[in-house]
Amino acid sequence: MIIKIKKIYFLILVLFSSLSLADDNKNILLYKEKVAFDYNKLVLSNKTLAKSFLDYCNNKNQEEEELNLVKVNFTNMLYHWTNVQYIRFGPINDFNHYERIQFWPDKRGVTNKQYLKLIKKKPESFKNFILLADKSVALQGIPALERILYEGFKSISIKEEKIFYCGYGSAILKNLETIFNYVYEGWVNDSYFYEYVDKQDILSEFFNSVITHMEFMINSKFIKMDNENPRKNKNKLEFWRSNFSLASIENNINSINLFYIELIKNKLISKKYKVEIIDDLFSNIYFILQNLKADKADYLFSDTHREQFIALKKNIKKIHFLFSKEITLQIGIKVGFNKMDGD
Amino acid sequence: MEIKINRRNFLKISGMNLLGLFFSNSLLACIENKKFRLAAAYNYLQKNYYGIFNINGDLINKVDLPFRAHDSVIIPFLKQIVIISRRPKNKLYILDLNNKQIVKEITSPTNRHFYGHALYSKKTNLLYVAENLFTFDDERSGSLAIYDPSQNYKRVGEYGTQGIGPHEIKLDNNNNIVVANGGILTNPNFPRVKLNINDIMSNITKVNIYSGKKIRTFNLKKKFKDYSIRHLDIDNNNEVHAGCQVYNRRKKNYGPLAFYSKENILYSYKIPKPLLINLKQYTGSIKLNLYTREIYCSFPKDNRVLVWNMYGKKIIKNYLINDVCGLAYDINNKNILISDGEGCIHSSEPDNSLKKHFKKEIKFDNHFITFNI
Repeated sequence: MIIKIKKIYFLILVLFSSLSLADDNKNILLYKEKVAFDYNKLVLSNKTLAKSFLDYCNNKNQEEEELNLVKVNFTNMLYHWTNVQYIRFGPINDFNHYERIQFWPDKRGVTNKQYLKLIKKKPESFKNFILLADKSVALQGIPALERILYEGFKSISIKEEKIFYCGYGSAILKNLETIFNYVYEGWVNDSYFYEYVDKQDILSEFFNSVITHMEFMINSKFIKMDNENPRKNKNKLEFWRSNFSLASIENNINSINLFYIELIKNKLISKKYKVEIIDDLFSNIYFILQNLKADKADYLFSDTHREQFIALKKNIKKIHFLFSKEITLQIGIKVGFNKMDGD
Repeated sequence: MEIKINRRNFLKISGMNLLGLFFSNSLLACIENKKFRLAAAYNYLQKNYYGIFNINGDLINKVDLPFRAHDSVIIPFLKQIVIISRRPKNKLYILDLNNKQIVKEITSPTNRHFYGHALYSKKTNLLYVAENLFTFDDERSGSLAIYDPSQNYKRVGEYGTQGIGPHEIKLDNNNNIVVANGGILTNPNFPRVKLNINDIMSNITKVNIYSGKKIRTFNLKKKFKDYSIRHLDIDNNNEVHAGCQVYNRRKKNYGPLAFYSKENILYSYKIPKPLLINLKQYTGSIKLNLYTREIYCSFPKDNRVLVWNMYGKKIIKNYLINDVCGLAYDINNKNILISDGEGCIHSSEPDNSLKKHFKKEIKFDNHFITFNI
């Protein structure tokens, strides 16, 4: 009798664990679909931006309002890009796509040097998106486009200049459209997608991506605040011209938080891990972000905000530590060191 | 021939044996006096270090590094270790084993950076370092920088590697330098960008150590145009054994990842397809055990080490080790030591088992060296 009960208990256990495994896989696939959907939104936002850009360029009068609309559409595209910016596997790795979309950080100021040289010479080849795709990655994507919108269009008194900026900007947008479509297609079409990732590895690819991106945020998205005058470093921020640097951090955090809630949190709860620790860290981050956002003007450079900015970085560091040390052990994901980049 | 055992012969043989026993014991004592060490770059809590350990895992010495290092080379007559930075950094650190400190920092000249590997030749008494001369964007960019340790590491010359992106370099038995030209063009102005991803030109080139003149180049077949040869080792017959990384992530036609040369032609090591798919087109290190005549190759992305025998080129061992990468020969025990990203050192034992020597809370970087001191 006891043996029979034990057998039934064992069968129930097996059934439950296989059901939860099926649930896990279902959640991962749903999340993958969500990412494909996010890439689609990026494609669409880029199209909208391209249309308004063309409208502005076709208008003989340089209407401030129209340029503002282009800028709004640009930050909307940035919003969708920074939502998927943490994904560093799959089709985004083909043909240097990631760097072609956003060559940043640019510690040696390559974009600046090459851009200045370019606008001096104004070569026709930069107005053709096919030819542009073979040029320096520093001049192909978002940083160059941001500069055209916030700097180039500011000073177009000569007709020739507007023609060049419009042609070059359109080529960048078309180049981005080609890349975004390629990446979206790679995510939405399973026969392509599983050429990059095996089904059983999707969660670990996402996890490794999140960890890598948090490292990237910690190392690159925060300027040195110990400097007496951090304002000097303002132009080291990610999107300083369009004032989107903080929003970029927020969007990255949103994506990481969503990944954690959708795919990780329940696993941790089932392991009786104190998820409150992580939840608190995310709450701290959102609280600081709200404070920084509330004071739009000069949000980084007053003494009060400096402290908040340091605290923001600290909280992200803590989450990164917990993800890469404790959570990996809890849910059995192997985070590679050499497997990521053994060289 | 029959040896008659008479009293005189018996005394002679036993005397010789006793003498042999005496000498082998003193030899053993000599080896024991020299302490076995292993040394590697490693990461601990996101910071880079270089450490020297004994086989029990005791950290004998560590130094902070402001960069991620790759390989290192011992300069025996100075009792110093040269620590080489990874691409795109341009630093060499000289660690003195006597005073356990970094005694010199070398920066490559303008428009050059190191690729993480170097070698020391006892014959020329010079240090050779794989370097990128990025003023060129073709095969003229691959170069070997030459430093003289006896002149406080003065840079005394350089010559070309006849290829792009030189990675691991080794000396063959004729004292020629064998270079794995990875073929991928990079420029530190574009740190993460592979500038010729559609046109990788990888090869293995032997150059004369004195003149830098090309002796021979081994090219992969055209169908391996996406391959980058990164690491190599050389056997007693001067044949080269090499491991590759592949840059066609999207294609599913997985090809071989390790090659060996035989009379000017590169042949591939066979890997069964189900295994090959999991290796994810990436090798970490390759190392020969000339004593057991085995070839070890690590595959970090599949947490695997495969071992072939040298004669039949058949897989004879298959180890699973998480985040495995580094391989080094242990001259005392005549076996291969294996390091991983979880801070473990293992050894492949004669009975094919895997012995874990220690585990530290660190992440070993790819390469490590062993030595007696």
